[in-house]
Amino acid sequence: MFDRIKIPKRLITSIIVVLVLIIAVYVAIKVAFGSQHDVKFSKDGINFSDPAPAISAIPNDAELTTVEENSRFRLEYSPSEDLLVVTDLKTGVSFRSWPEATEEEVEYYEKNKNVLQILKSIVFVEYTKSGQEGGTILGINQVPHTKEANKIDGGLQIFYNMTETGIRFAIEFYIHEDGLEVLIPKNGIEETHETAKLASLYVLPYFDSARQEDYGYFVAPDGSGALTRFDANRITNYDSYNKKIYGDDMTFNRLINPDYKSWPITMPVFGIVKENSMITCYIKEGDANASLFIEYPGNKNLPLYSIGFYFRYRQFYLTKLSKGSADYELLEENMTLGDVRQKFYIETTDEAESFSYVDVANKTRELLFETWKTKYGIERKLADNAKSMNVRIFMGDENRWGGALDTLKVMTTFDEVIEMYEELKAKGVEDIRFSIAGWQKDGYYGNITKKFNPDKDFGGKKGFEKLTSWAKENNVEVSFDNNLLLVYGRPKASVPLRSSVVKKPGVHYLQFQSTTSSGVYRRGSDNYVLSPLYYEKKVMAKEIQKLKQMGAAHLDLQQLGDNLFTDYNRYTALLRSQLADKYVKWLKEYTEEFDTISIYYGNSYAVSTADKILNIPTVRSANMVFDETVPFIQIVYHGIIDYYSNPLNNEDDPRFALLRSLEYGAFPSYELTYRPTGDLKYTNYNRLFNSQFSLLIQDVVETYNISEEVLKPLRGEFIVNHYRVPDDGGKYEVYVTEYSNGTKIYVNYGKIGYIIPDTTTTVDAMGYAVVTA
Amino acid sequence: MMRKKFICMAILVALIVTSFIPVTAATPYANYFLTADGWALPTPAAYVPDKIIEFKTVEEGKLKNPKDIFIADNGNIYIADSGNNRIVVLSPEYEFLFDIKGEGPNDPSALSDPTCVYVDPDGTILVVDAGNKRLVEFTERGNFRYSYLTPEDELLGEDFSYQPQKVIKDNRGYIYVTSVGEYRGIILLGPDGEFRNFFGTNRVILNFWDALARLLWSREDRKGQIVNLPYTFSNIYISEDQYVYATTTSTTAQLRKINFAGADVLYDGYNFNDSSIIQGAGQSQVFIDVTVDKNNNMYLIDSTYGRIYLFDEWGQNLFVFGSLGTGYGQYSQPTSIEVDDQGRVYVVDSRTGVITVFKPTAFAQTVHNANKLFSEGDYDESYAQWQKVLDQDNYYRLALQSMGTIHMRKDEFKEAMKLYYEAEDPDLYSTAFEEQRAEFIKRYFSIIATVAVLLLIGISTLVSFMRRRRRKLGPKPEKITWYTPIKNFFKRMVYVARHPIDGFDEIRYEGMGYYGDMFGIMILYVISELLSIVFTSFIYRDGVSLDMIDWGSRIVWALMPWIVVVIVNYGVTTIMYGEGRFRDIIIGGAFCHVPFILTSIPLAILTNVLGRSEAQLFTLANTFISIYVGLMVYFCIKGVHGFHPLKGVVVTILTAVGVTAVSALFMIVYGLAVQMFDFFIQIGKELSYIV
Repeated sequence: MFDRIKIPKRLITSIIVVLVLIIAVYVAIKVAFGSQHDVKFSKDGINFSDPAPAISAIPNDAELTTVEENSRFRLEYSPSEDLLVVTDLKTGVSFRSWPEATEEEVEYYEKNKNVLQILKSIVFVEYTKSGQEGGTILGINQVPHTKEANKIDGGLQIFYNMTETGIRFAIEFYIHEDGLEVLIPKNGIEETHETAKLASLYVLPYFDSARQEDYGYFVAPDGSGALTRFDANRITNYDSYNKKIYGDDMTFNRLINPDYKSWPITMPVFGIVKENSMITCYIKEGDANASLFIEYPGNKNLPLYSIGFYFRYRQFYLTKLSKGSADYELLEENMTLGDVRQKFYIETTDEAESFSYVDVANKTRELLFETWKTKYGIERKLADNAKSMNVRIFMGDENRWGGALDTLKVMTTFDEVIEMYEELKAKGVEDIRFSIAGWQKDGYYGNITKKFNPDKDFGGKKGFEKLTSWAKENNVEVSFDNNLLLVYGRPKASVPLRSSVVKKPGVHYLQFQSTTSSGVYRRGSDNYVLSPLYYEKKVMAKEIQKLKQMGAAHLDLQQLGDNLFTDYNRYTALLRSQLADKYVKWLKEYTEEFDTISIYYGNSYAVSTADKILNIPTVRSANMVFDETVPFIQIVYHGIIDYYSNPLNNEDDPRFALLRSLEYGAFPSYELTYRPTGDLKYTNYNRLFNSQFSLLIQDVVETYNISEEVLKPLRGEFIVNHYRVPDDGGKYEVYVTEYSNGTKIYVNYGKIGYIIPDTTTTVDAMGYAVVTA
Repeated sequence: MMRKKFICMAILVALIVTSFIPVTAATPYANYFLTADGWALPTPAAYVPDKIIEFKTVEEGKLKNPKDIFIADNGNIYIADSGNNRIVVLSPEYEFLFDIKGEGPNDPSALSDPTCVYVDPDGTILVVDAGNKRLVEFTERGNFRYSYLTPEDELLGEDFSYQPQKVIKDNRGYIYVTSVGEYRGIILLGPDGEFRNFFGTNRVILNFWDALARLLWSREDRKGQIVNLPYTFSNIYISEDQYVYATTTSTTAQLRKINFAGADVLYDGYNFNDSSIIQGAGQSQVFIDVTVDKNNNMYLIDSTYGRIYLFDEWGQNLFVFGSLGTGYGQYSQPTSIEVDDQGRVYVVDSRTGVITVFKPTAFAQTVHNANKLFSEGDYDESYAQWQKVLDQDNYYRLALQSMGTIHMRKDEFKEAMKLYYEAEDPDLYSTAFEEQRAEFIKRYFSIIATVAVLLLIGISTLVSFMRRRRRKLGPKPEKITWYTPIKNFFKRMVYVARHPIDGFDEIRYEGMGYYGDMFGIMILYVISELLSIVFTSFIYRDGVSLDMIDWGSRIVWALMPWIVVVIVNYGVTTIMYGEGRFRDIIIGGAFCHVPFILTSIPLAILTNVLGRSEAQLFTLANTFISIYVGLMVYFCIKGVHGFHPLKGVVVTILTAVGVTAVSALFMIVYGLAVQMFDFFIQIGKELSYIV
């Protein structure tokens, strides 16, 4: 009955062949192109909290009711008005989630309901419905939603449910003795529809916002620090300010042309200074995925200045299917952020105008110390000594094309470094540090996957060792610049591309573009970024060993303080926040092995461990939202870490840059070459226009003497005040920096001299003066 | 009318905001200058953002889509506020003076979309009222004086469409008007407003295929084809010395400097595209406005990247700065550029309605000052200023060139040569070199002459002695040593080069050439090609630095013709019944390179004693060698394949045609292959999203 069914052999063979082919194609596609579906990020260093249990529910039609009160603050909430109020019980000063409208504004809002909806939104939500189209940013009141407010232990909890998209999240507000804390617990975020995805959240967008006529300003750690004054004449119709903390993420870079106007933010903080209050808002968790956002009157048709942090759960990125095709904007598949915790530290007073950005900076220093201790177990201390000047010596770089036999342009050799020091020493310049850049194989932009040994044209390994032993014998601080992760060109054959370099979400390797002297990206740049995990596992130990063997005692490490990114390579996947933690770990290892470790620019996580900051910013971005540059980060750091300016000789106006160094308490720097600068014309390092040692030696000596006389005695002191003297109708442009030992530095950028009141001291035009206590 | 203007003034005075940009901000753009070869080299900032002028809301609101700015001789600033249909006049201190606009449609002052404003030295204001297709003349105080309507003339033709856009006036009172789409040139009106002629007529730029079509087909045959029209003018400016500067819609002749007779001066045919940008970013530039300062420096602005280019009156690029963007010192959609007598540069942004003012830095002022002193002939002071420039920018080209020229004037040729060399300017270097050479010869003539005569005598004596000796003793017995094969190799090389007819015959029929010879010759050829580059003087290398020579591609290009010709020739001669084997062709082909090997290095060395004025000698020698090699190729084809001389000619021509075809085919195949590869990659990526 059950005869065996005879299956033709051919059929079986055909099926097997087809199956094998399908598997082969599948494997080939996976291997060749990959997919972000496979990328799994670890959960290291990320917290995932549940929403706090509710004590009691607050009805949605309730008027303003007190939710929590301690000895210092009272927290009130009105679900019907979408209003959150924090009151300082000491002074009676209140801070509202949106400002009480003036009569004129009430009339305006009557006619423009949508604007009022925006204003009253306690949170802005960025999301995408299909996962394909660009993100929509709306106030929560602009989208259909339900909310549920609860009293929780120590504060308030609000659950939002966006009914159309199925996105749900909870926000918790806690009152402490020093201010208001906002928590977005990660486990409170749910996405119930298949395609709708959350991109970012922005809590309390109009908290303590201000009007044009108000006294006060916002403080942003943009570049060295920048102020947005509420009463300044402002050019309207420009975009709001929106910038990532710790700089752009290369992996998500969407720029068509390089951004010359922008200086990265180095700290997760901002300040609001008003007539009788000061708020320092600091991110405790989620800083690596946050962006600082500033709006001014006219934006969103509101007459208000506002400032806050966007927290990005997913990021948009551009991708293309083929070289010639258009860019597609896609959103990350999974969320890359855990709990978010930010705190508004509130200070109030009865006296008018008693706070300034200096106070915000002092508070920030305190908070950074706390973070470094709790997060990294580090208690930051100032190094025992520091040199009064940094002289960066540029060794060489390859020609972009050609070059007879050897394409490397030698600008300085190891022997010439010694010669330069001896010449400076003969002129009394001894207390300086040398930073040797571009010493590796093939020079500055040599491929780091083959960077050791030092290039023979500079003197090779022997020359390097001679320099380090000479430095040791003569007690000279010779530091070596070291690029850890940026690969100029393709990694060498023994470094497998697939598992060693950073990928973008999707299928592409991250190939960053270099910039031409004419300010555009160089097309077809074939540069890669070494995966941080690959570096950690395969390279770092060898590198440390090698450098130590060659006698290096001081290092200037690139990337650790100036470049944070995400790695979407499935073998080495790492989030931005995790990379910051890795950098700190590496810094600890490096500092254990070497005498001093310096970083560039100075993101705050790296400052926790580094000994020095090089190229600290002394300018701010050219955004229309800012009115003044201030030494905010310098006030935070002076007295706890030594920092050096950008090379003065390569600034547009070296005299101005020197004065700025003195004002900001930054030891000056120079970048020098032994050979003529013009030799670098056709290399990729064609950014110098005046670097030849013999032409600049006199300037170096003079600047060194100034630094020794003015800045060296102030080492270890805190900056306790910084201000501009009354300008007498635009006549004077004089700034004063006051230190904890009572010394005042006056710097005059104006065209006429300034006599310091109650003294006979004149600060010359484009000059400076020191007044000791 | 006047009363109304002063009321307007009262309202607006407080409402113009000039935001001072603190000097503390770094410039939000790259600062560089362009070398003659188009390389961008960095400089310290030459111009920094100084102020932003914005009109705050009143009546019509802030500037709306402003299209033009003009600064009169008295320093007053005139803005064509197109979106608000008015002309706004500011004082040099940026205070509102008055505006010009009508009161209703019947007011002759009423403007509609004014696109340009020009002010005479006597204060007369000339406005292009584009919406009403007319020019309007106002008095110094803004009162209506006259309206110039559409010009009429037989020359203009029946289908003439008058859409005036920009206007200027020369010191004779002639008015120059650009009209949208008017390809015949700038419309020239007499002082009476009557049409006189077209001025500065543009030419049609034909590409290769169009030119070929014109050559092969008559006008009748070409009917129905797309007609190529000349480019049109987009903006004009007249300098104090009465040159008309005009930007065009062309992508290759973007700017013209035209004299009163309508002829181009200096810039004709000059491509203003900034290759350093285009190579990087890809998009071509559109130059939308030009202006000239009191020293005849020219300022050109591009709307694609927002770059401002400064050229001096001799066409040397001084600086490049500026960029598009939304920060201080950036603009989103620049439409017009102007410069005042203090050297401040004004850029009008039509999208945001603000005017950005840039001021020159101390560096730029030193450059301008040095250049001015140089052109005025105050060389000593100019030299000191240029030295200051070099102290800030060690390789600023114009400083090096000018200082070199100052040395030239003092007969200090050696110093001049050094500076010209650093400036990478072979032409000026050559002039200094020739002077230095003349001086050298003058000084050492007797020694040189004596040495030359002695050498001649010595050589001729040696030669005659050798000959006599050989006659007496007979040829030396052939000794076989380790270098005999090398000697024979060179003998064969020289033999074929000297006797190509017999030589190539012997290669085919007597087995003279070897593969070893071929490799030897080609290696020697590549080496001699590379060495000749090294030995060629700076002048004859056209100032190209050895750092810029791509040796790899030079090797490829040295070998490529040989490989292609051999392959093509083998193909052609297979059909044409040639007797040569592939071996013979490839070896024969290698022998054709011998003249190059023998002459390229000596010629390159020779260039070190030649100046530019003797370039013909060098060209002649090269031409002679090329002809000789051409003949060798012919004899090679003829000899190796045993062709009749005439058939040899035919096959040589066919080979040349074949080489052209193969090159074209290679380009096509390469292009297709790249696209095909990209196509597969694309499919793979799409599949990767699915699986």
